[in-house]
Amino acid sequence: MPTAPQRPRALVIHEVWRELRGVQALSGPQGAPLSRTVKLILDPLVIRPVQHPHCAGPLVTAEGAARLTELIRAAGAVLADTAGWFALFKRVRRLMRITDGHPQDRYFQRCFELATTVGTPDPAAGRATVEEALREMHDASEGRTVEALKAHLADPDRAAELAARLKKSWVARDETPVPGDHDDLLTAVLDAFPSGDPGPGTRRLTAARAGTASGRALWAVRDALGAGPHPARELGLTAHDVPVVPSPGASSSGPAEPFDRTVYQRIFTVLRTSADRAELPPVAELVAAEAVRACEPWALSDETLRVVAAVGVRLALGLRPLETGGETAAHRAVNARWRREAYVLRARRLSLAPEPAAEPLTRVAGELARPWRAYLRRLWARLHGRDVRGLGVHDTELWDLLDGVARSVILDHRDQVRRALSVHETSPAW
Amino acid sequence: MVIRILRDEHGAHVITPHDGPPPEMPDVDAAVLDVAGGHLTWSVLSDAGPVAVIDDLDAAQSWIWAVYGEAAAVADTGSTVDADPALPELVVAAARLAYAHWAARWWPASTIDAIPALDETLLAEDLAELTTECELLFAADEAEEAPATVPARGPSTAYALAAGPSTGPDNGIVLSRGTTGTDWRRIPPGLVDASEQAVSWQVTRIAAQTVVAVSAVPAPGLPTAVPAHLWPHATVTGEDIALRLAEDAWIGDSALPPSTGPEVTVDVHLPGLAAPSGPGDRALRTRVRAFVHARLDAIRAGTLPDPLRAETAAAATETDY
Repeated sequence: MPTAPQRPRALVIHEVWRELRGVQALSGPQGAPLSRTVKLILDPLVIRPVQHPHCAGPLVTAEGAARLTELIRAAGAVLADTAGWFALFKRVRRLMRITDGHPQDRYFQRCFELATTVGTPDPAAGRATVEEALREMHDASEGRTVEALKAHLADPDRAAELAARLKKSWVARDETPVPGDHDDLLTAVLDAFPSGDPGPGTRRLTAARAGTASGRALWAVRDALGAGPHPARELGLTAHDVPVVPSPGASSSGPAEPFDRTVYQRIFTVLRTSADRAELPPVAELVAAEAVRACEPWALSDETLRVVAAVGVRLALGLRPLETGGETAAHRAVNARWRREAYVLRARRLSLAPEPAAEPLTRVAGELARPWRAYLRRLWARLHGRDVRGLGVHDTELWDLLDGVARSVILDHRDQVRRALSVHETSPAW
Repeated sequence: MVIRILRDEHGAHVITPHDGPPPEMPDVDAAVLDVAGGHLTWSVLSDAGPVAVIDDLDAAQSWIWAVYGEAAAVADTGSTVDADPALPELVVAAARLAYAHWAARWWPASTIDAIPALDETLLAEDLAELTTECELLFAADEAEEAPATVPARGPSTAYALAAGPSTGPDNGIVLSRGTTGTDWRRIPPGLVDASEQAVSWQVTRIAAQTVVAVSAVPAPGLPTAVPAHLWPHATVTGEDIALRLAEDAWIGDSALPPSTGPEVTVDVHLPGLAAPSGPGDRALRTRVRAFVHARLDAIRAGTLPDPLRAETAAAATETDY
């Protein structure tokens, strides 16, 4: 079958980018747009592949290349202004001695917005605008602080009342099994990756309440989800045989297993990882909502997020870092990533035997034998963060999310091995 | 330069300047970068361009054109094309970054061979800077992390060179003795001197017993306290001996079966590391050492373009122990 000649999309973007003037602040060392420029500005705000499907994908046709060039060229002035604003953001950020967050992540889209609405930054007025924006972005916790959380739960009456409320909701959980076998649908969703549309599958799973079904099964059912006699424990979600009622807690240290984390720990993580805390509900409301959420299936309120968790279990249980292949397209993609990692680990003198005899090596290597534990812990944390903010997972984000969790688990493993094998590290938590 | 587009036995997409598929596992000369969609491998001993093994071709299309050229990016499996990097300066930076990652793990620091250890703080600076230069190779949210924090060094001791097993039976008849090196793939960096003379052994006959004593020279900069799970072992003709850190050497001894002859093999390694396939390649280690010596000499002579900061500092180190 003859195919239309294609060109790498990144190269086409690079070529037109070189024509633009005044975009250095958005460019990398070789003059191409930064990876984040493409991800945060060009793709969502300039190219918009959903509207321009032939501009999407890693390779584009001549027609797609022409349209891509046209779109970026047309945005040249706005992009130059965006770069101007970004340079100003970085300068003012330094002057204000702000260090938290990745500047590109935090400011790129705001800069584009200013370039569109205000235009070229005026040297004097622009600085005031940026100062205000930075103050708003970095200081505006509006009382959603760790200190407020600590103060809130330090009141013994309030903590006792919260404990009682947790106990009551926990006892009142609806544990009725949801009928239906969702395995074929879960498989179909995982087979749609990385480039297919998981939408039809996830919608049917949501309609069938497959997320609630798996979440309730984890509360008690032996051999649920193909994860042995104590599924929630086997999946790394609790250290107990079956999940127990979470406690209010008063500090950020505590269990790593999601279902064992205290209310304090859960909110603490959300506050720590939020770029825009002002948009969160006030601390008292966060705590009250968490008390409800903690007693729901998967300790998540949103059914679509529970469905993602169920998809995640199905994926995680099929991960084989030490082998090859895999049951669905998603498994094969993640296992291929693990095979790449095995090579990188060898090349970095970081490859552990399957069962080393000495701690901490035993523990670190053991994570590869049960990769689903680390995987589901990380996935749950990301889903919980979305649940608290009232955000779902869009079909187009689902693979990025599942794949991104795999990547984090892999890099985390590499880091752990490196630390375990380091002669110079003063021994940390083990 | 001609490059080939292949598919390896696992279905990965391969772009290589060499004939045939790349080795399944890297050896001690491999400088590897984990990039979007796959990995890039150079040999520090060769000027050849990198070999790419790609498991996610869509993701890798963000950089193939830059490293190998547009023709390579769209070439079919089985074809041969001329490499024509669109961003040659990126390829140079990528090779340096891969080399810096290699140096962080494989630099054959040795008191015996006069190869000073690299300073980890300087190396971390090199890595951070080069990672930024190579950002095009990484997906927006997965730039390979340079070690973010540099570990605080504990006190270290300048170990004397062990001329032979420093403890062990004094009396008895020496049946045999010898020196050997280590297979670097079987021990983490920083524990044992990387020389082929780092390990000494001596088999003695004493009171009707055959006893072997082993001693290994510590790597330069070894801290005075090393966590127990990093204490190396020596396998002597099948006998496993746990080594311990004496004043100036890793030492251990063990009785051997009476049938043991005078010829023994001594293999110093860290239990818990994955077993590499096949025995270590001593000739390859010798070439790596010669390569490092040549770099240090060239830095001292001012003729090496673009050395790493850590290498420049090492070249200035007094090596006359």
